Amino acid sequence: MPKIDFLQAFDVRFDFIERPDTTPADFRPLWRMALLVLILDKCWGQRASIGQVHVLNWAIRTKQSRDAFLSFQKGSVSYERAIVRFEPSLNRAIDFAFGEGLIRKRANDVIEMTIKGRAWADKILNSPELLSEERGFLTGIKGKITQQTADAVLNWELKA
Amino acid sequence: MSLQFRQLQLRAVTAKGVYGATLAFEKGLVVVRAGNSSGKSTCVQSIIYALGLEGMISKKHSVPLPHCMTERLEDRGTEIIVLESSVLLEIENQKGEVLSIQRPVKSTSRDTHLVSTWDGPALTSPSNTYLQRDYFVRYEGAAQRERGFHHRLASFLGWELPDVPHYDESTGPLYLECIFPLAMIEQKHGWSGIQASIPVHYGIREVGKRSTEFLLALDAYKNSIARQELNDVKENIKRDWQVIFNGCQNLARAAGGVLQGLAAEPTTDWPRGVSPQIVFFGGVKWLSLTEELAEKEEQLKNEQSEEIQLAGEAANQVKIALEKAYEALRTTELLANRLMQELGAERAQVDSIDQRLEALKEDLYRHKDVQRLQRLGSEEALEISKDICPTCHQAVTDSLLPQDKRQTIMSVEENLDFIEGQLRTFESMRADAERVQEAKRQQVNAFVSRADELRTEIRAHKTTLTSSSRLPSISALRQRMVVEDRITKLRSVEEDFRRALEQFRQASELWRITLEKIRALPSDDLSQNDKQKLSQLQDIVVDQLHKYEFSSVSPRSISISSETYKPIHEDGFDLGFDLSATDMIRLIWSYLVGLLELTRSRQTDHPGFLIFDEPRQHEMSPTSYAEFLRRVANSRDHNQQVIVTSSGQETSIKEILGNVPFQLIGFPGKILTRLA
Repeated sequence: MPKIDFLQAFDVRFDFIERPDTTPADFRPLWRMALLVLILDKCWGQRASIGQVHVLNWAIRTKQSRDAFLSFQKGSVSYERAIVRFEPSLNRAIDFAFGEGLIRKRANDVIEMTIKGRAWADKILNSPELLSEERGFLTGIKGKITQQTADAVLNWELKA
Repeated sequence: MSLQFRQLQLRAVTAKGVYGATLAFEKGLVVVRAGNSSGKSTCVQSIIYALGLEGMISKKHSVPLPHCMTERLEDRGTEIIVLESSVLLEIENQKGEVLSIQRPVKSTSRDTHLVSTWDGPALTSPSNTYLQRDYFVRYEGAAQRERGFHHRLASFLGWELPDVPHYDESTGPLYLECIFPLAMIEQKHGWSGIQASIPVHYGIREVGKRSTEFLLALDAYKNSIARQELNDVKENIKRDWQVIFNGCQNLARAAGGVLQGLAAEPTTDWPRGVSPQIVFFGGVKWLSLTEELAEKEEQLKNEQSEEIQLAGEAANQVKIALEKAYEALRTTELLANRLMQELGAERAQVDSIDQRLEALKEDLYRHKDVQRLQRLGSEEALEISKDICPTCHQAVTDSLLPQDKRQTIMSVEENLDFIEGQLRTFESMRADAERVQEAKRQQVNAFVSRADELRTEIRAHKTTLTSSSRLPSISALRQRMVVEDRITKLRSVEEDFRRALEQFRQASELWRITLEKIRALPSDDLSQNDKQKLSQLQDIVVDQLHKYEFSSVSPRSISISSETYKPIHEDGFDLGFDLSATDMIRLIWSYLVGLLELTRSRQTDHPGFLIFDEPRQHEMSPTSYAEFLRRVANSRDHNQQVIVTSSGQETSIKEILGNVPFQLIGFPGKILTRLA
């Protein structure tokens, strides 16, 4: 059998094409900003502390965390399931939303929706197909969410 | 198909005499001109009412006519109570047949759901020789039953109404009320959009699409029905196949074998390259049904050639056989255990694939949200939806991960494709894992039944060894019976399996034919002829939009959707919201006139007339309106009729039309005047 010189056989021009990377939708700024205004809409007085937003951001994003949060609210918890993750990506989303003029900052790390943000939130709320799963979860929570709600999730360790 | 209106009469009997109006219509453009609130709309409503089509105005059963026909009319300042009233209409079809219709509006003696007809021009040349018949309207069955007026009207028009699917899974006729909004625009709802007054309360699926399809006589409906039927056939074959497949599996299982080379889903690949078979675990290797049968027959022959020994004589042989059986049992159990472990691993594999699938589905739906948000965002002018940082206005990647210039992120569309690709991969992986699981499960079964067999054999050997030595060897007796049983069993399995394979062959053939038929249908159900019609309609519509000074978007960007058959913008946005009020009117003109004009060169089911109640809506520009009137005036040359009401000045209408022939019907005061 004749030997094949591989280097010879591959003596052709190589082209490398850079393929773009895939990114999960919840890491897209637009999606997370939409989630942010929905969260603010659900919070008492349409405003929330950064910590509060982080808690809800964590709670809303996977099926497991949604279940954990809801059962925590009912008081029937295995606490180890409710470990809140603080995500840097949410901070970036908040920055972007701030830049777009959708939210503004108040004292004590509290953010609230601007008129523009409110209008955008209303548009999203008026399109029933948008973020339906996430909205279903938020509507499932009774009443408005307060700092106390968030603190309860954050500080269960201390009380336990 | 054609329908032409020849005469309309309104009659109201009062204590102070009979009041009424007679409007004789010619072919071509007819302008019914009168001042505001003098009864132009009453004319249009009366035509609709006479034809029993008020379902396109309201779903209520009340009479859709103004006071002057139902309660009291006004004559020179005094109000007179109406005692009895009715509308009469004379129409002509393409064969030149004339039908006269009378429907009571207010009557003490006749139900308003009763329509009288005469087979002849009873209005224009009265005579008592015309055959008179009564029909009912607006009751269930008015479109299907012999005595239903719409049944009569449809056959007068030469229409065969198709059966169309309803939302409640039933089918029923496409009602006339659903078709006429493409030819008649009444003023109440008609001008808010194309087919705005189409009734939806009949629960007909995609009623707008179905009506247009019918009016344009598209093949698409036939094709979609054919596709539906073929899909039903496909489902049936699938079910049959599954039944045969399950039968084969049971057959194999009951005989302690494993089914090989068959899929649970139908295939066109028949006869299979590797022919399907049932295999048996022979202790060392897998045997085909034929091999297994041959082996057993050989065994039986050998045994039959020997006398059955007494237990005592056989003892040594039986001991050896017992040892062998123990050994075989150990091997079989070992193999079975190993397989069970593998099965466990397969299950874990399926679970993890399921988790992945769930995550992918969530990401898919979230990406679709991003797409919708981008559309919303562009209205809000959010910079991030253009990948621009809202603070520093520099380009950013569409990601919340740390910004890295070298990194390019997939666009949402690319990412959607990517996720869909992944979903397909994982779904096929899952199907594959399921198949492997099923095969392993079958093998486990085969081992288990083999182990059972061996245990019985061991028991028989033991009994032989402990029984009286002068009795015949139980082992040998049992062995012979078992082999005989087995042979009978295998033969019947062989026969059943052969029959099943023949059924598979037939099902496969039918499957192939069905798939070919489906492939032969046009993918969007539109035939070549349909496509030509739609593209011609598009040309006519765009041409008019230009002439009517349509300006909200470029007329070039408007096309006729092959999905809905309605005009759409090339960017896919809904024309309902993004048009100025007058451009919506221009679009309605163009579309309805387009349908009428298409009929001149193509075979359609259009009735060949149009009625527009006050087409000059909103602050319509006079030049657009003039262009419209001149355009519809050419209907006279094509034996068609366009009736238009107008409150414009007589002189200005005449000026617009110049020497273009048309008919002007005017009445100075109220439409109803004293007759006698």
